[in-house]
Amino acid sequence: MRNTLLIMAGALACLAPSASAQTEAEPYAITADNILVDGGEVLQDGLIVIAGGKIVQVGLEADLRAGLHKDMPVLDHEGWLSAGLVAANGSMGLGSGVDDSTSAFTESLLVAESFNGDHSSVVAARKAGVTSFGLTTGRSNVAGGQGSFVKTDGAKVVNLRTHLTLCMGPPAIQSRRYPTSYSGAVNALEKRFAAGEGAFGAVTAGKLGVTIAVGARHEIDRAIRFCQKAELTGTLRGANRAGEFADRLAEAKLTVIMDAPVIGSPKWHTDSINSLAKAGVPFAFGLADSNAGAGSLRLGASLAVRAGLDRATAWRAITSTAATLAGGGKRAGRIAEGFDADIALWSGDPLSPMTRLESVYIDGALITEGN
Amino acid sequence: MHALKLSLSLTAAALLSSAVLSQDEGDSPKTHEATALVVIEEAPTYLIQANEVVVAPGKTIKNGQVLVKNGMILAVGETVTAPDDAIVVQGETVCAGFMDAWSSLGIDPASVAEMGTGATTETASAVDHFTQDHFRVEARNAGVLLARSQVGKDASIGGLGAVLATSPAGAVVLDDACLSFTCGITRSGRRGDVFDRISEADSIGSRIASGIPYRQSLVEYSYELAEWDKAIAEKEEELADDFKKAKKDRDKEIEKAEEKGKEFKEDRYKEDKRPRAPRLDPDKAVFARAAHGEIPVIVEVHGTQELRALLASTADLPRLRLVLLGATHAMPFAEQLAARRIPVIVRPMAAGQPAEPEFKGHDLGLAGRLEGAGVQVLIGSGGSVAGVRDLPVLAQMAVAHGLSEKAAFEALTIGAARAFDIGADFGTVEAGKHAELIVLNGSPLSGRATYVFTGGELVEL
Repeated sequence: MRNTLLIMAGALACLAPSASAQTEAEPYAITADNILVDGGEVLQDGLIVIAGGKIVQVGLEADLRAGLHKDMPVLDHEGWLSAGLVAANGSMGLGSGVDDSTSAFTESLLVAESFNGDHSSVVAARKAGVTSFGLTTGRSNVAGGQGSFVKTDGAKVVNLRTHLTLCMGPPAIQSRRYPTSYSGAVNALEKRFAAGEGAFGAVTAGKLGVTIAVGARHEIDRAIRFCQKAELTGTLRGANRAGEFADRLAEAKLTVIMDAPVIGSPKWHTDSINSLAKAGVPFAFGLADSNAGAGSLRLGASLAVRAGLDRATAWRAITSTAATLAGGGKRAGRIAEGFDADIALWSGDPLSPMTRLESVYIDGALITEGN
Repeated sequence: MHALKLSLSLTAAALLSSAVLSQDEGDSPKTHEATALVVIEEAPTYLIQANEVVVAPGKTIKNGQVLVKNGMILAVGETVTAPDDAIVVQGETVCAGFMDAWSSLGIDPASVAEMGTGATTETASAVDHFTQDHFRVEARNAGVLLARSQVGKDASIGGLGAVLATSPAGAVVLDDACLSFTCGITRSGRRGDVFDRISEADSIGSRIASGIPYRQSLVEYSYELAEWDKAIAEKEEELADDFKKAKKDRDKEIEKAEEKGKEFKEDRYKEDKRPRAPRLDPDKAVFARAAHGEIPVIVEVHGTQELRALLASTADLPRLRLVLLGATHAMPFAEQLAARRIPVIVRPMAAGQPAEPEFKGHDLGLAGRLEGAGVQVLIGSGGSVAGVRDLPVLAQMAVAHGLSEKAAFEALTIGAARAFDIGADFGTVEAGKHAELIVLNGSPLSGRATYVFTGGELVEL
């Protein structure tokens, strides 16, 4: 069977669109013992059809197989099929070009212009099953720039302007340039939002999201108060302790991007995750503020489940919810009709650390065998 | 007088040699046995019923039972005879508790970071039941019931490691579980060049080897002392018989010497020349134990050159029980490791985890490849106290990358127990062993612990 799989994969590699362009490609189907549709829903003996880089059909093999064109290639996978993983944020592919710290306000910069899709960090990400992520700036500026939603197969930008990154703590606040204090930063931002020009105007008009980089408890507290005062709904990133503010976050309708737990993460981290889940605060795992590599996403979701998080929420934190928070929620993160065919094939349940990634598809094209 | 004086001096010498022998007994091999865990006396009797009783790796009883009392396993089987008042505990699976073969759990952080440790430094003396106790609880709740812990984690010689229990009372199961070294690792942010690292490896072999002549000198001394004692006793007996004659002869000798105006010189019998005891060297006493295989020797070593040098420097120590820690680049030596039956303790690390330069090139497939080459694999958390509770996850990651589930389970249970000489008391679910057990809602590696039995207590999770 494995030889059949490899032959099919080889054939598909010829048939499927190239990694760098979304072209019209021959439709094909993949069957799997289990298809993880979205979080809690698992389709046993399922089948999906891919055409033009999109998922066009999802259902039971028993229902769909007979209706397939007789010449349509079918990949029979013994294992699990899921959406490719999504990192809610990350700076893979930016190298040293994460921030331009010449000024504290660089809100018009588009981080995607620095994106190198062939960078080793991007390659490593797709080998870990991450097919897309929210490309973001660092934390060096009060208004760092505008992030994008990108794929990990080359420099493919799905959504150029997804969010404006703000940071009102260190290292954005520093003594060598204005503003030199938190109150100075808040004052400067309030004026810009009131003026409503450029990126700030797009935020207040609802055309651009806003992400605030935080860390310590007081930074989370301040960010919540700032958003409430400025009537902003957005995302706190790097907010590992956000669970301690779960009720306030829910009331303020804010969302959270945090680091995925790693081996040895302190208990307060997983407690924070559980608190957010209990309060119904949407959250996802990101890579921008963590030293851990792309492999930490899936491992982190597994560790979160071990610490009590329900499977569905844990899975969504690295797929559909992550895609939504990253600005690509209508394209990626789900196995559903109309979504991009960003797919991962696994040896078993992807939430089990005993499972191995076998192959990755982006826009229906086989991109890589897993690590 | 001469005979009397001689007799007295011989008697005094005999007494002194006894005292010396008593001192020497401190250098002789000490008992290397597991200490009984602290157990709550008169604990209830428990009858564990499980869909699968995993007795040992590869040996399972379906729908089996385990009878436990006072911290000991009394019976295991499809059905066992249990008293009416036995408390029934049910689960999907019951198996032996896990052991972290590479840990610093239960030790105060300063002692773990100590760089001035030596061969005689004892981890057991640094046990701390209070600081960071929550890590012990988290580990226990994850089914990790034993840990081989080590002070001087990054020191050249860490000293004597200990096996500790994560039971609520906490206990030192074995206070001289191993002798620990490191070779070629990063210390205080610096890793030596290749020549430094090779030199370290050579030094390990020569230090351990120095214990052999030291032990030999002690053994020879004890034989010589015994011979000397025997000769003294014989002479005393002889003198007792010939006391009068000897006294007369001596008096004559004294008279003759005085007539000639000379000083009388007492004949010194050969027996008077008491054997000299070797200079006491506690470090070499420990090295001797290691060289003779009485305790295993753990070496954290990663690089190819230092691995090669270490294996070469220890090749002429046939009784040495060497265990490698980390061994990132062990594969080129797998055949040798398998032939010499040298186990390797791996620390599965997720890609992208921060790691010291010696771990560069580490990949999750190492455990599987070593197993495939016939090398015994053990698994450890790498010395981070916070990571001990994730030991089962590390094992799962190794399985995902090629290690067999059976080998992974063995690594966490009887494999680790045997490597550190507690296999007779721990590591499997068999009558007569300590009841350090986990009850899970799934398979041993991927299930979640619902109960643990440890130190005679049932802990519901």
